[in-house]
Parts: sequence; structure tokens; C-alpha cells
Amino acid sequence: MSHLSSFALDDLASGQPGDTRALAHLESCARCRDDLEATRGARSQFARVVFPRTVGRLRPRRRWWPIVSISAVTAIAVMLWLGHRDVAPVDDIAIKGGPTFRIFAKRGDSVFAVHDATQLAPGDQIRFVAGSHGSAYLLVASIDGAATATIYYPFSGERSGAVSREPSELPDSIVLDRAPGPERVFALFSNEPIDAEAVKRVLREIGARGAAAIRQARSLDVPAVQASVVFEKVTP
Amino acid sequence: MTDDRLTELYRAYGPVIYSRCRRLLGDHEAAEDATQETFMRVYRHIDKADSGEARNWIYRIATNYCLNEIRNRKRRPAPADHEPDEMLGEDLAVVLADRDLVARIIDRSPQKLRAVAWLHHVDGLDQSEVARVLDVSRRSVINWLAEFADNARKFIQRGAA
Repeated sequence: MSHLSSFALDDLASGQPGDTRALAHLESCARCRDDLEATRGARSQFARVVFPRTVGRLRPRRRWWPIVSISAVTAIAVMLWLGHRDVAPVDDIAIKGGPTFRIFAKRGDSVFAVHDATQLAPGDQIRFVAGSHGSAYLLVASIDGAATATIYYPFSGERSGAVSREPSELPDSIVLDRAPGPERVFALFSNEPIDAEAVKRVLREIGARGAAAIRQARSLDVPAVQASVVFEKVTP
Repeated sequence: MTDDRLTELYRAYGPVIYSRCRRLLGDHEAAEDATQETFMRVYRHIDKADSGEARNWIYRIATNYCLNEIRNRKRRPAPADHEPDEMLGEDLAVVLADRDLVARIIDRSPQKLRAVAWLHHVDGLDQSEVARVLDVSRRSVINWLAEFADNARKFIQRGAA
């Protein structure tokens, strides 16, 4: 009998009774016993860690509305479009002499700008408006209270994406998950694409040090012009 | 309803997909990302996830995603301890039991052969199972595996030369 297939290993690892040939093969094949043990370990890891951490993130991002290109001249139009007279003035994260980066949140019919320490809730939607004023590339990434690093722009991308010179809305809005505590979003502007995996490694190191480290980390050890915002996820 | 169905699929098949991605990608963080990406794609086409063939379909999505990740990262499996130094015509099956060697050959194979070779030679699925996962005919699987075997012989003969 050739080695057990991955389906057969998974059936055994999930507790299903194997057929007699499979069980006899296991007794004589160290490779398949090792594979079975590895499969059991992976299943356990999934149930204990991966499933609870990720199940809330599987829903697709929802657009609030069609993408609209927003030029600097129409920045005021953004304010009007948000349609809320009492909203705080757009407080972009302006990097002196360089790019701009803004985060907006939507909860029900309410839209508001996100600043440091703004409280957001699971299910709130956030979107980004960015303008490079010269840099060619942008990577937007975050680290949350569960120490999960996420690339928001380009979404799940492998490296930075193109960014317009003038402020415009980035594709896709993000629905916040249930991971509690702070989440810090970094906007990394650069003239060459930045490797996303390298950024995620740096973010995970910050996340591993806990909530206080996430709140304090205002920049990353990454060659880029940077802006960041930290918001707090609370359960309403 | 769709969300409930997605959670149900994730709970049922997440473990086998995560395990598979661990084997393909080699580390738990990449496997977690790959598993999440797989089920996000499942969500987009969830009407295809009928109960009978759901595992095969999701397995195919995960396989293609992981093989693309491997290709994009230009990963190369660690060299085998030795190259087979005998002509292979007699027992290619013995040589292809070496998973490291098979992975190297797959890495150098045309895109159309990669998934079928991985599912059969590394995952150990038989031809019918491969056909169901890839949603192709068994005849197609046989032809592709034959083409892969030819590639494998040439690869090993070049290495032995």
C-alpha cells in the first residue's frame, strides 16, 4: 500500500475510524505516523487559536458607496458628502511637507473622522483617504490587540501599491472585527514598494509586547515616510 | 444565512485546509493567512459549496492559493541529501516517493501540471480523488501525470549527467 493520502490522514486525525489497511499501514510506516501526528497538531492549533481569531474576519469588506476620486480642490466636497454639520473638521494626519492620510469611520448613519484614542466598535466600518504628494507607493497595515497584523492596502497584498498624488479614497472599506483593545494603523509612503511580510513581522513583534506597546509605537523601523493612528475597539 | 453557512464550512473544513496549508507553506502564520484567504474566496462563491463536493472544492482553492504563494515567494525546498544516481525508467515511483525531490520538480514544472502533481505525489490522492478535487476528468489527470513523469525523468537525468 502506498502512503496514506492527506484526506485519509485528516479523517484519522478527526477521529473517524480508519479502514484496516490504513491502520495496518500506520503500524509499519514511520512517515505516515509522523504525518498523522503533524495533522493532529495542526487541527488542534486551528481549533484552539486560528478559528477563534479569524472567524470574524471572513466576511468581505463592504463599500459604503462607489469609489469617488477626491482631489485636493474637492476636499470641502468630502465634508459636505459626509453630510454631518457637526462633524469635527477633517483632521488629516498631515506629515509636514509630505503625504496626507485620513481615516473615517461609519456606524449606522453616522460618519466621523478617526483620531488617536477614538473609540470604535466591532462592526464599524473604516475607510482611508490618502494622497502622496510625491511618493509613488503606499502600504497601509495595522496591528491589533490580538497581535494580528493585517495589510489593509493593498488588501492582503504582498507589497505596497500605487498611490495618487492628490488625496483620494483607497479601495475597499474595512469592517472591524471583535479583537479587543487598541489597533494601530500605519500608512507607509515610499518611492519603492515595501515588502508586506517584512512589515507584518515588525508589527507582530510590537503586538507580542501587548496593548501598551501598540499604543506607544508611533513609527516602524521601516524605510518610509510614516503616519499612524491608534484607535480603541470597545464593545458598545 | 450565508454567514451561517460560511461559519459552518469554516468549522467543518478549516482544520483540513489549515493542516494542508501548513504542509505546503511550512509555517503557521503563512498557513493561517492562507486559510483565511481561502475561506474569503469561498464566501464570494458560496453558492458553489454544496455539501457533497464542498471539501474538494475548498481543497482546490487552497491548493491553488498556496502554490501561487510558493511561486511568488520563489521558495525552493531544501536540497535532497542525494540525487538519485540510477536511471529511473525502471522505478520512477520509488524516486517520486521522495517528497523533497518531487517538490523541486513541481517547482520547475509548467503551471498546468503543478496542482495535479502535488495532489497525487505529495498529498497521496489517487487519480479519482485528484479529478474530483480539480473538477476535471480522470483521463485529464492521467495525461497530466504522464506528462509530469516525463518532466521528472528529464529533470533527474539532467541532474545525473
